[in-house]
Amino acid sequence: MITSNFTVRVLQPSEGNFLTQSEDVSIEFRIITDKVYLGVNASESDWKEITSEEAQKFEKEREEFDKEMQKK
Amino acid sequence: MWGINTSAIPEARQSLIDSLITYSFDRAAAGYSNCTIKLSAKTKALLTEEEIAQITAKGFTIA
Repeated sequence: MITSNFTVRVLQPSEGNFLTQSEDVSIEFRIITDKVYLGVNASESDWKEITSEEAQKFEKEREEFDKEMQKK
Repeated sequence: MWGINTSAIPEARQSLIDSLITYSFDRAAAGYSNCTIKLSAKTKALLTEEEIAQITAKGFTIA
């Protein structure tokens, strides 16, 4: 018989909000998500909660970045 | 969408599991820092709790 125990740390934002990296990253690496499953050595402080308005602002920045990249 | 079986790609889910679990490098065991993998909500929903635990145990954060 094999018994396994698994522990997963899950981050979820408040209703209507999202999660993104806490550090300042280039928009091409910015992640906006509704759920994070932390790796074994990761820290909760690596992520922060943002509002949907802030998320939309990041998405717009990324769209503009993608357009600029397509021009090159 | 990664991991969703279709008639064209019937082994898509197995590919997902092989990539993230079966044949993925164990960063944690090797002493490497954590790495974040961005998956769509649909792909995340395909993974069981056990599979997610196996992936995160290897030093991967799933976002």
